[in-house]
Amino acid sequence: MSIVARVRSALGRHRRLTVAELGDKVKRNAYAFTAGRLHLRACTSVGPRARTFGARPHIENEGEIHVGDDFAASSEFGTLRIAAGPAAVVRIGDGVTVNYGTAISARSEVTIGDGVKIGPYCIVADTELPLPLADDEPPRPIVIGDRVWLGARVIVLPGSTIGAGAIVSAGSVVSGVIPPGAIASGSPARVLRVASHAAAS
Amino acid sequence: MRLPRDAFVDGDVVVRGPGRFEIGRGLAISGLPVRTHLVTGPHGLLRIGDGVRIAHGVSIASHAEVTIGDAAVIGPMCIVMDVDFHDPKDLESAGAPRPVRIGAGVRLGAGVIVLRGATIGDGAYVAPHSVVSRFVPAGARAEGVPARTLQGPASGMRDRRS
Repeated sequence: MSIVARVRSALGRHRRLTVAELGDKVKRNAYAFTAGRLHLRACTSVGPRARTFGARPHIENEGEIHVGDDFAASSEFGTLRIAAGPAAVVRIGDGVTVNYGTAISARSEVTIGDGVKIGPYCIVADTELPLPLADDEPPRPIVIGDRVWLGARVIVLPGSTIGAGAIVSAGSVVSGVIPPGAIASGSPARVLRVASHAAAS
Repeated sequence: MRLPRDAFVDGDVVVRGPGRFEIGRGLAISGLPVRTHLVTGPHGLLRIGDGVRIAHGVSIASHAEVTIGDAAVIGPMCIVMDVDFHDPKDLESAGAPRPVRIGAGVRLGAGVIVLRGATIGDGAYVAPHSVVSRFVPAGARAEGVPARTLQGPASGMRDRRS
């Protein structure tokens, strides 16, 4: 997205805010942007405009951690943790938002697409026991497609694949495959319906 | 209360209480990204066997007795408490605790809640986000709210799909 388009979209999104509120938001983001440079420096690669809000997230990188453009992570009430074991890969796309208290752990590979939103206290780990604790079972990679929304406290179990545009409701446990555009809920998450626009986008 | 010297502690772990702790060898416990706490009430006893692994965000409270067997695995964000902290019929009075026993080699998935009086047999597997309020037989696989036992022994989430 060009800078003009970005500013236009941001102003559109925030047209109900007063000038003071808008200024506050700009200030917060400027701070988060600066903090992001520092907080995410353990990552293998970090896109421009990556921002971190609140406390310092825990990034433990023994493999590769790639964070895309426009990443926004909160560690305001619980810290975010992203851990990659030896030779493991965490790939986070562009425009991803991750809320506080979430654990992302890879012993093999965890791939998160563009525009994904992850709610607070989620667990996305390719072993049932996240790093650094040892798990008896071998890791199974996780793939989360573009524009997926995980609600609060969602658990994505090892070996799961979530299709692009899917919504996983809060408190669900994803085990297996969720098709693109699906709205899934429960433990284990079952597909309630599939959005008709999903295939097109 | 200090954890044993050979324990592996990762991050923010709170171990506190007037009660007693008996913690075995080789405990591995994580407190990141969410704090883990182990607390005991005045007459509480928390007994943890050898080689137990406890993930982040776990809350364990003992006001009578909580036993966790050898090599058990407590997944992230689990809650294990032997007390409701008040009586169900009288919210102002302190509730009566009832001991909780988690057997050896048990695996609790992420976000499992174990309520007072629950017993989980050796080697059982409890699926993520289940609530255990009564009894899970040894080697069984339990899931749901409240947790029901599925047929046959199973060791992990993958058994459902195969």
